[in-house]
Amino acid sequence: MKFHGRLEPGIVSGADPLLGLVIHAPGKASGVTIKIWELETFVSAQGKDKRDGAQLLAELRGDLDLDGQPTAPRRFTVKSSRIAVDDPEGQHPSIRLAVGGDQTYTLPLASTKGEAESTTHEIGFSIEQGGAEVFRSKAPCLYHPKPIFPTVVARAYDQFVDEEHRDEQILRLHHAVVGFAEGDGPKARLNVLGTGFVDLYGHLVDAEPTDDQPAPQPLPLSRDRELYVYVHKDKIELEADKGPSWIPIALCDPIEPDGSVRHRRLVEHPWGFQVLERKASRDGNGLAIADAEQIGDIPELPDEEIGRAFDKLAALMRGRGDR
Amino acid sequence: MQKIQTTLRQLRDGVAFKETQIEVRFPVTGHLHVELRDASGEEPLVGRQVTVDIPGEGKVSLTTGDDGRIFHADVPYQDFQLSLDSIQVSVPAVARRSDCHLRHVPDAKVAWVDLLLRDEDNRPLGGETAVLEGPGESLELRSDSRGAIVHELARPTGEYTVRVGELEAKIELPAIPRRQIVVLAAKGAG
Repeated sequence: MKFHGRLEPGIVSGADPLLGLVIHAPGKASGVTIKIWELETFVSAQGKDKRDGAQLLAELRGDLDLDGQPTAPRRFTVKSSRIAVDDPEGQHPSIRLAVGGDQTYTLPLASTKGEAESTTHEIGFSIEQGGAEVFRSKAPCLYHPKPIFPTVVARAYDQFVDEEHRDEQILRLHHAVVGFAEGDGPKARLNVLGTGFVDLYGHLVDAEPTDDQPAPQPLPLSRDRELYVYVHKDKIELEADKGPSWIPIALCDPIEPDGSVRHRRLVEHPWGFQVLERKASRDGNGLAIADAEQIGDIPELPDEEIGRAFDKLAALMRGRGDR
Repeated sequence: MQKIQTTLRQLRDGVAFKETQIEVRFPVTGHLHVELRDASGEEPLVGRQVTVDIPGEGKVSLTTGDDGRIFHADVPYQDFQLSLDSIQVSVPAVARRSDCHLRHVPDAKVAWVDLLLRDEDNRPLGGETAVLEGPGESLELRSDSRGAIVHELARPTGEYTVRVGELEAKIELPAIPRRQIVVLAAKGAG
């Protein structure tokens, strides 16, 4: 019995990549297992490249049957499925797989663990029946998420100025930590993926410039995952991929899909007030400090941790932060 | 009853039969319809000679159109190996004529230009004409006010020289879009 199929359309990019599983042959088959793989091959800036090995993304078990005309693609009825990577919080970039037009599976890409950079992925599939592999696609699909190159602007918050009239200016010469949120609400922390530097023109680059090194280069970040950046003046030694860091997400700024980052910062008002306003970006909580004298003793906060986070934020922004 | 074993292609062309009752058998076939693109999956490979071995037909030569596509009807359901000069790439058959499989060709690298040009004092070289020299002819490109040049080059990746007036720098153009900050220095400096 001859098996054949493809993943359509063959190349996907963008924020919501959708591949469709199309089986052409045979007309009927029962006890079929289809395995979707992220292959070890991918395309890097140099061209063909390889990761450590192929990773299973999903296993779908079911039966194949005719679906109308003999020349039409077969209907694959899924009886059971297993997604290889458990990602309840949606931390990994993922592709979606459509099977039979009405079923869609979200498949997290395990290879992106610990990566903030945008890379390409090659996706393939194999078919097994009776425990033996009967088909393996030789034509991998390309998933090419377009990279973003963040630029950071600072936005001053001032209770006496309307939102639309608040000034934005390029943030210059700050250190940066990039990562994703782990945990929810006020307890969310930055899981660090990498560090960088905001250069003289607000571009997020891979290192602080030095006289004896080549020019730092823009960080190509992934557009398909929710990333945050923590900008700061001090040099912080942080290792990537070590779980949640001490940095509260409340102190970070989200990287928008177009790469723009609006760093919200404290402003000294001429009338003597210091106003700090933050929105916890994951759950929309608004938190405010309306008087400089109260920084460090903030009433009615949801828990002790967020109080400490605001202490740190206030201290860092006044240039005396010790973290 | 006369039994005829044939192919869909032969059936379309017509098959001879003697008896009034016949049984015609033919394997269900698909089509070879693919759009070939560069390694990044962005640029169609236009006007490329492709050869492919098709069971029952032998070696078939095809040329990609302006959209990078080739089409050949009635082929068995299988993956086909295409040869583009020295490059090999596998593509699957599709079910309908209207289906077209998109296929990146990892070895067909096209250079991507996404540069932020700066002078030795790290100032943007905005509104300047930059000359890009590398494999093939040189090319003039204009930077915007931030010193940025974004351009797709239908040329090979590799080492290029970028010149603005008396300033120059050597750069490596990648196979997928990657932004680069390029600091240009006076010829012979560094």
